Amino acid sequence: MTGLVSRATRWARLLPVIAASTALMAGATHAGPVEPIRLGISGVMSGPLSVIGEDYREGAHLAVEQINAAGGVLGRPIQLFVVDNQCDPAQGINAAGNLIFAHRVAAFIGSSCSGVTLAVMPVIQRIGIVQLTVGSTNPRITEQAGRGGNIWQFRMNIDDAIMARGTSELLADEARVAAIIAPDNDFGRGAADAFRANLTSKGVRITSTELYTSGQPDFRPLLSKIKAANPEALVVVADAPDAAPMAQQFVELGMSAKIFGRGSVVSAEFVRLVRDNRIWNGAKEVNRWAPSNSRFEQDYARRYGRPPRIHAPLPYYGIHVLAEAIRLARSDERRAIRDALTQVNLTFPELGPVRFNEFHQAHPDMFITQLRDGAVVTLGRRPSLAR
Amino acid sequence: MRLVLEQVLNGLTTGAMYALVAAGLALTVGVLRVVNFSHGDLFMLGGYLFWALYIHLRVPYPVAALLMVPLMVLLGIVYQHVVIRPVVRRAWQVQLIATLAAATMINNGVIWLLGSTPQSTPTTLSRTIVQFLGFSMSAQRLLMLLAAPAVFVALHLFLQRSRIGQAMRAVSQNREAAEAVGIELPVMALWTFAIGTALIGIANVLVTPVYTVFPAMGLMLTLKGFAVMTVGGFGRVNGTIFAALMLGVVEALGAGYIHSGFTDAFAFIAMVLTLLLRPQGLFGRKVGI
Repeated sequence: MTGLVSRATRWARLLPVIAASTALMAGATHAGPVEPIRLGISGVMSGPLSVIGEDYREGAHLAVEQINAAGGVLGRPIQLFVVDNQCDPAQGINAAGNLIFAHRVAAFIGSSCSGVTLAVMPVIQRIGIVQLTVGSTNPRITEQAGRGGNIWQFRMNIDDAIMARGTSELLADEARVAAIIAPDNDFGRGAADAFRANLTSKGVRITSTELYTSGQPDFRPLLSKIKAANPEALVVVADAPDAAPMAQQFVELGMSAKIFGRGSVVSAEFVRLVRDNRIWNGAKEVNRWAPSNSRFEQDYARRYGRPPRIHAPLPYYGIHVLAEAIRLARSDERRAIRDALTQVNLTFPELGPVRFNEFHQAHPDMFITQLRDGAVVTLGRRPSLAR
Repeated sequence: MRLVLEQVLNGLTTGAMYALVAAGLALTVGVLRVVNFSHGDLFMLGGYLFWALYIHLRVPYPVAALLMVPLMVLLGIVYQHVVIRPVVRRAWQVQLIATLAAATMINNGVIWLLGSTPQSTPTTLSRTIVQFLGFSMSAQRLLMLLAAPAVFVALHLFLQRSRIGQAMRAVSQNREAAEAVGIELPVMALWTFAIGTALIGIANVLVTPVYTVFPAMGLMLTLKGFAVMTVGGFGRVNGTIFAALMLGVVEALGAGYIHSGFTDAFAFIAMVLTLLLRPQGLFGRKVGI
């Protein structure tokens, strides 16, 4: 008995030591590497439009590097995962699945391709994760998002309904007969529909709407058909890799219609590909961003050795918007990010206001740009919503 | 009527491109019975090679044009040695996997080395606008229209009249009998790929200045190459050339008068109709090129 009591007393004296040691070890474990905040980006990393994906990756990476250098978000670094959606809806769903299940991201920036964004929207609704779109412009995305629709879908960029309205005002001042050429996908069809509606409402006669496959080499059959109807203006819905051969063949055919772009027609990338400042000199385009020697552009040039192309800024700002939402939520939990995004109220000097309305659509400014002798000139900047 | 003629002319230039690319594919199938799924990617590689010579190294166009053919022949010989020689006597499934793998590696290799940003190679000829039969086009496109038939005639004469051409035709008709009389299959395989890639090199010189080059462009070219080969007669070079020109015209007229959204579909509609109505193709024979 005496032995037992003695043993029990010995253990009793050891208990505080054991407890203190355990607490210390737990504290040491807790002070280990910080769990990063995992964010994703789904880009067009291959195919004829892969230049957009490169811009997405570079813009987003720059934002992540800057945020992490400043201490991260909630004291945690951001870890960015980039996947390839090939601008194809089926591949886009796979890419989103990769981000959600393999990389376990808290939220992600969606594709620039409207078809991919629309295809992924049911997935994010089923899983419950935010897709922040910074490039897709089909108006249906907003029609299906927010109140009464997909509460996980947010769009930061202005859509084709807004840009078509702006471009149509410019065109209607200069021409009364126009044709439209657009890619045969959700982006192109959505833009073409928006342009047709706006131009018609302004009394502009549309001679035809021609569709092409992105990456196709020869546009002459379509341009010949357009030329036969002799429009005064041509609305070109195209990114630079498609616009460049189209422009060369436009010149080959001796066409002279005024060009109004939608995509990245008026862009440094277009100028680089056509290698001739005379081609489509004077073309105008309403876009979501224009070069202005901003702090972002200077940082980008320092980081990558060249100025940003037109698709790089919005993913950069998109990462900042997601970071702000995580700060407001004080959490990287998916539902918390979604709820916090509805409270985000930022203004970027080179972009405009970013505040999501009930349909989760923001309305930064729109920029009127023109190609002049190989340079992109900003003619004006206006709010995309009447204030 | 003028628009119809213009569309026919547009179609012939597109068809010439298809024909230059698909002729090499038909040769490979006809002589070696190998379906090369990386044929379009070899064209893509040639496009980047031309870009490197003309834009990056600033080699004058005539010199770049002369260099492209031997460089592509060299590429073809290397490709034949590495990818085709090990599988030329194997089952078609093995050949399919080997050439598909090669296509993927070429594609991704270009992306890894050069990125996936498209490149353009406009030349002085592509910027010079001329009038041909009353229609406006670039001098480059006119060169394409005039040079392509000359290349096809030269190819036809080579296959019909030269000893190598006759040997290739013998192998295409009966491989075992040809080997029995001393024609070496490995040598014929080398010649086949050398000629096929030479044709690709000529196509690059003529065509690349009016289009852009990007890594993913090879797949659709390969698929359309198979489609025109099916329509023209599997492994039949002349039939493939005719079908390619016809397809170009059909695509142009279809885009102009039916719906531009179906342009790519016409090739495969034609292929399906041919398989249903005349499986051997328009000029198909049971054996030989």
